[in-house]
Amino acid sequence: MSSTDATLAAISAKAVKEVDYHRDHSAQWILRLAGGTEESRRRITRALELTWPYVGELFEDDDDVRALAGSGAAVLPSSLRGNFDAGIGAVLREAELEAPQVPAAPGGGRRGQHSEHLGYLLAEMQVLAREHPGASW
Amino acid sequence: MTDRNSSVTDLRPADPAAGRVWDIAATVCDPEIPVLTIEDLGVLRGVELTGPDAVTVAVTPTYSGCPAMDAIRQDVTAALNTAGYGRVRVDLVLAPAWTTDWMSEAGKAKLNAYGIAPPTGRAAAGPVRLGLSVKCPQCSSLNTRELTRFGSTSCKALYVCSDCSEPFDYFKVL
Repeated sequence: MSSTDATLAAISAKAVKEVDYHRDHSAQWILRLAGGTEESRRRITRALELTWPYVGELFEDDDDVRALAGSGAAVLPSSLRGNFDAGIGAVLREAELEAPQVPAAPGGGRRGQHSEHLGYLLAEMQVLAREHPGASW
Repeated sequence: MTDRNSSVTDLRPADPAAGRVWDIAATVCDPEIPVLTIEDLGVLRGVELTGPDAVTVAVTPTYSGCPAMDAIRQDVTAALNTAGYGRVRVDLVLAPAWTTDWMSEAGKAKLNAYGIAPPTGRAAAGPVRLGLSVKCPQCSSLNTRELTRFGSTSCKALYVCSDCSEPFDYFKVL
């Protein structure tokens, strides 16, 4: 909220209030699923294993964000990891879940390094435009 | 910059010509909750006459990405066009951040009559908003419980009344 960019500062002032609800909502669901049935616990544990490899990339710095941080417009994502670990850690502890010990996903999408999944995603998203070139509505 | 605590009545311009513009813009209703005007909601934040038939209107979104804002902007433009203002600009202002504290008492009464429980308590009172009982808009019982934090829209939660068994939406304090 102390961003030197007025628009970003305004957006984050709104976001801070709304994020309260989102954090509480998702924490409640983690607790509900982890403490529910054997099946729900199995599923949330598996879901954590599938998504955890992507956590590290959220906190990677690159040249663009370093420039923004330098001008005071943004903060370095790497500086936020501690808060994340503390917050998520508290929920996982209460849910009696553990942060999975899994290797990080290769990542690199922002650097133009993509996996074979991108081809399928683009094909799916482009199918309508390709079947009806020039269409508008 | 509008003072965070300005009630809507403070924002209506005193000047009669600008006041007329405000009154027209203030008739526009929330497309999701058609009993509420953008004035009731505190969404209408200011008007300015920039020429004989040119106006600028400032509105603020309730929640980030609120999908009703496009419709509201179009409706404001149409209402002012009909009233003879050929050139209308609607600006979306993000700061100060909208709060349910800006909802008028009249607006809260209209919400309740419509079947949506209005926000209880003031956001400015601090982060501890949970715990205030929500009154059932149907039977007025305080014996209600939350079913889900996000209901039909981001701004509302879904509750159920344990006395009359009716579910109802609650407009959350923000």
